[in-house]
Amino acid sequence: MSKQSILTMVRSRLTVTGKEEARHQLVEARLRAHQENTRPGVGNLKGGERVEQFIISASAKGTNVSQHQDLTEAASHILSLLPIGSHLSLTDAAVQTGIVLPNEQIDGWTQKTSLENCLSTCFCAIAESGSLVVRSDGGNSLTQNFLADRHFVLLPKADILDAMESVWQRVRDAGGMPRDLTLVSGPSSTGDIEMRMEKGAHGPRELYILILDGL
Amino acid sequence: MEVTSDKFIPLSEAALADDKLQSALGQLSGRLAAGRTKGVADLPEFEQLRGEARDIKNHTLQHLDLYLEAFEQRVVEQGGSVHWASNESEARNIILDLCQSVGAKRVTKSKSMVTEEIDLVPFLEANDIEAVETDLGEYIIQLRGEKPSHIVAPAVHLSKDQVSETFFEHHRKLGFNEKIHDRGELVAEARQVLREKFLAADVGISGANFLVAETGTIVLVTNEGNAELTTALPGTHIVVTGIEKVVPTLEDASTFIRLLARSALGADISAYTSFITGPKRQADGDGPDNFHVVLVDNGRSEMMGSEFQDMLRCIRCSACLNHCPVYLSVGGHAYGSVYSGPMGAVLTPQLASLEKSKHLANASSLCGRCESVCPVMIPLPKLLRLWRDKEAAEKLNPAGMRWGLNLWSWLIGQPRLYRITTSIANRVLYHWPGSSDGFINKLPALAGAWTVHRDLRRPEQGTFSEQHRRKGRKRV
Repeated sequence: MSKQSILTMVRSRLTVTGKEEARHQLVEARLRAHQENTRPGVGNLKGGERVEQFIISASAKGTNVSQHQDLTEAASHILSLLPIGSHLSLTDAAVQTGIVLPNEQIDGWTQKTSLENCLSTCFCAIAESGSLVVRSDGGNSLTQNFLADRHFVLLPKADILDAMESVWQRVRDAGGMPRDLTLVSGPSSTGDIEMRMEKGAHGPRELYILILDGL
Repeated sequence: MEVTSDKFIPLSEAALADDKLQSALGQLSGRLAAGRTKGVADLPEFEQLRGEARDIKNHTLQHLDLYLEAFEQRVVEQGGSVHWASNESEARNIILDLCQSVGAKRVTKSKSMVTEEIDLVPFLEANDIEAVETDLGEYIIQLRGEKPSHIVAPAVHLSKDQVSETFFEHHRKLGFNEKIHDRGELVAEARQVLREKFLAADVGISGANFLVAETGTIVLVTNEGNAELTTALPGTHIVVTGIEKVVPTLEDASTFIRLLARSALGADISAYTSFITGPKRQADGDGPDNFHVVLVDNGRSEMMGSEFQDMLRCIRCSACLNHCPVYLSVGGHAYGSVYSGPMGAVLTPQLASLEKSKHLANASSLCGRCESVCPVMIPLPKLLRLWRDKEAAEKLNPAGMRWGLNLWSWLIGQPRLYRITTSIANRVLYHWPGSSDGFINKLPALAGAWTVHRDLRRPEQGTFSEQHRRKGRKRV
């Protein structure tokens, strides 16, 4: 079997047998410890500075960030951004926030097809890199998020974490890794033609993050 | 791995004369290398992160057997499976079997250098499975029947107009009757064509930038979002990756994520970084029912414990290509291998054969820029020198070169004769006709091999020893 032959080769090259207790203990301890490596200064901010860093970093990537008092204000901001005649589809999690949008602009998205606009929530966000953290469970369909031309995301201010390391802590506290956890850092883009960045390669052409004071 | 690296010399001569390629390569250094410089300057902790990244990889490689077993165990616990492939044909057959087991006719692929290494797509197509590359650069070269010329930007050798021609030729049958020249419109057309492919695919095949042993997670980094659609839409997801990609924890993966995009193009992070752990679960709205990881060895385990083990730290960021004066002069195709630039020159002899790829290690000025920008501090010039040593030890270099070197090494062991010979050579060259600015443009016989491509600086009057003796006497 190839597994055995590969591992045998690796072990003979490392001059180990794979049975050394000390090596096993070292590896198991390392896997359990979740030891942090160096965290850049921008990944260590608190309070207002952290929110500010998030906005700077996300905006630098072409993400549109806005701040709102409540859902009503967020809803009217979304409506002002929707092109006339276009429809918005809400993920289950977005519906559950209780956001009120006029029925005639809601699109009942049920299957895996392309769509114009999608509103979702997120797991949290990262100030250091201006990233959203979305996951495959919790009522947000990933395909819905990635197939939309415009992606709107509700982000409670308190969910802006400082760095990736804090996301891992939150993930572990919530029961471990979901099937898919994606850091979304800006709209979809490609530099594959003559090294010039173009937006909207396969995922959303536009990304809107609505920071909410409370949700 | 199929390589044409034995044709490096004619291919690089052709590349140097190719104006379109030269202008494309100019873009590359102007944008990527300049971007990296700025991205690194923006992160004061960059050097510290490099050192840590090197140490994490070294630690993982020293315990590679155990981390791979831990990774496999976690994948299986999540309901996925892990397949081990010793070589490329084993890997191809495992993947084909997995595709056939779900009756797959259509496959979408996100970018993966390992699938290039094992030549997967032509193999699937020969077995009646349509396999479509969805990374825009890979898609363009797939339509053109070309290999990637850069490990991150595979179509970097092409101009917008060449892409326009290619799309017109292949998309006409899909109803795109107009030739378009605008970059944004070309991207939009590919988006439209590939969207249909995403939605119809039975299997999605991806690579992996990192494997996380702690959780059995694979990490995928893209700017386009194609990896997310490739892995979330079809019923089966197959990950094809090398055994060296494993890191211990999510914290360790975070360090590499901070280095990867910065080293490649200067961005602090790519648009999408996905952490995928097993198949679809009950709480998920979407995702594949089957999740497979194919771990490919293909010569990697032989590098363990050898002087080439350092190369297994490579995270395929492309910084060494983007800063290499040779790569930037001849482009990737001249290397005749899917891995080009300094990392390719070190890896290709290992994955193919030294005999076929011996030119690559010699095609370097050993200037050391590659090592200085490498995020995991691989001593690339040292490894290139090692291949040169092996080439000489295995007598793969030309007989004339070996005799010449032997003659030289004998000569420098004879001080009197050496002084006489160099003194004569010095006089001849000092008086040789040449340009007024101190260069000799043309020499006969063996020495002509030098002046065919470059000028030789005219020596000063007298050899070093002669001048030393002259000046020494004056002082006394």
